[in-house]
Amino acid sequence: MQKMQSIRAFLDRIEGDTAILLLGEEESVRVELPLKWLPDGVREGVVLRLDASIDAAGTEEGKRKVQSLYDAIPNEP
Amino acid sequence: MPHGHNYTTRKTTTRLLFFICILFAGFAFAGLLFSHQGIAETPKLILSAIDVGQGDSILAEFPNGQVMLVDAGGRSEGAAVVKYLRQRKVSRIDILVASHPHEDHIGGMLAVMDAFQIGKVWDSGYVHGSRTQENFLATIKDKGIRFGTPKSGFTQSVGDARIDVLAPVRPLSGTDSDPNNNSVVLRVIYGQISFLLTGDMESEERNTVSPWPQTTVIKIAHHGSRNGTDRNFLKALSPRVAVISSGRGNNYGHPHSETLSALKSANVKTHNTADTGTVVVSTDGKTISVKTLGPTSHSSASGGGYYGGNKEKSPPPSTGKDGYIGNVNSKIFHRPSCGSLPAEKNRIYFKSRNEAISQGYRPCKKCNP
Repeated sequence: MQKMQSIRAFLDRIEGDTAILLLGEEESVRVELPLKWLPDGVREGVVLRLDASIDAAGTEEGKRKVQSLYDAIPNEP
Repeated sequence: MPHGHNYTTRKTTTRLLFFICILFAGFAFAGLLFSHQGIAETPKLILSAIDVGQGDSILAEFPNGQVMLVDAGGRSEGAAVVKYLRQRKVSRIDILVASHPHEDHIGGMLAVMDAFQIGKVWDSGYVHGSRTQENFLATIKDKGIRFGTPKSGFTQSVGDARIDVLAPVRPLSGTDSDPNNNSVVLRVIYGQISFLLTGDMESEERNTVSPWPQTTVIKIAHHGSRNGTDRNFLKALSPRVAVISSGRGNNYGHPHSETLSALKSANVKTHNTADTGTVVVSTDGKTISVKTLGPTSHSSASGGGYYGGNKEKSPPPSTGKDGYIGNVNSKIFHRPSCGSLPAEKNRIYFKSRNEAISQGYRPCKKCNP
C-alpha cells in the first residue's frame, strides 16, 4: 500500500467562497481552494490535514480515456 | 574738473548707497521669504499605504520623528515593506501594530522585526493559532519587546499628534470572521486632520463603536470588502479621502462594487494601491496632499504562492527516492529511508548530497548517505 502524504494546512482566512490555506509546518506555501471542497463546519483558525495518495485506478482511467480519443480521431498530419 | 570729479564722486556715492539699500532690501526680502518657507515647512505627518498587493501595511511618520507601522503585509511582502521603510529613512519603529493575525497583515512581521529596532508592539490579543502568529509572538518574547493589547479608550500622545484606540471595544466571537472583528482600530489626529485605520474590521465590530468620530482620511477596512464599509458609516465619518489596500486581480473581488459605489455617492476621493501603488498622504495639520508612487509587481500579489522560507527549501519530497533529509538541530542529514529521521518540524530537504554538505550538514552514520 502506497504511503499517504499528510500535509498540515492552516485555514488562515475565508474570503467569500474561497478558503486561503497556509501549507507545511512553517506555513510557507499559500493556496486558495473553493470553500466547498473543505469539510463542513470549517472556520478560520482550524488546522486541517490534506492527505494525498496516488489513485492508481484514476491514473489508469485518465490515460485510457485520452488514448481512446487518440485512437478515435483520424491521424492526418 | 574737480567739480566734475566731485560731482562724479557724489554720483558714485549715491549709486553706492542706492546699491547698498537694494542689497539690504534684498536681504530683508530673502529673510522674509525664508521665514515664510519656515512656516510652510511645519513638521508634517506622513502616512503611507505601502503597496503590498493583497494585504495591509501602513506607515505613519509623525511630526516629531516617531514612527508607527500598522501591519506588515503577507510573508512574501516583508522585504518590500523593509525596503520602503529604508527609503523613508526609518531606522526605528516606535510602535508596531498587528491589527489582527491574518497572514496578509502579520506575515511580513518577522522581516520587519529583524530589520528594525522596535519600541513596542500593539496587538489585537486575538488567538488565531497559526504558526505565523506563533512565530510573531515568540519573536516578541525572545527579543523582550514591550507588548500590549490596547482597547477602546486607550490614547497616546506622539508629540503634537495623538493616537486614539477606537476598537476593539470588547472581544467578539461567533462573527463572520472573528480575527477580522477583533481588529485594532486606530484614529491618528494631527491638528484639524485625522486618519482612521480600520484593519479588517467588519460590520459586527463596526457596530460596537458609537458614535464614529468625523475623519479626514480613512483606510478602508478589509481591502474594500462589502462587509467593511457601508453608506451610514461613511455618512458618520464624512471622510474626504479614502485609501484602499488591495491586490490587483485578487480572487476575492476586492474592492467590492458596493464599497466603491458607497464611496462614490459619499463623494470621497478614493485611491487604491492596486491601481496606483503606494499611496502617500501628508498633512501639516491643516491641509492634506496625496501622492501615489505608481503600481509595481507587488500590486498584483494575490493568491497562491511559495515563500521559499528557510526551513522548507522545497515541498517535502520525503517519500521520494532522490534527495536527503537534514535535521536543523543536529545538522546531520539522512537518506529518506533512514530509521532515524528527525521530526517533521526539524527537517530540511536537500536535492543532493553536495547541497547538504555545502550547508554544513554531516552524513548520518547509520544510513550513510
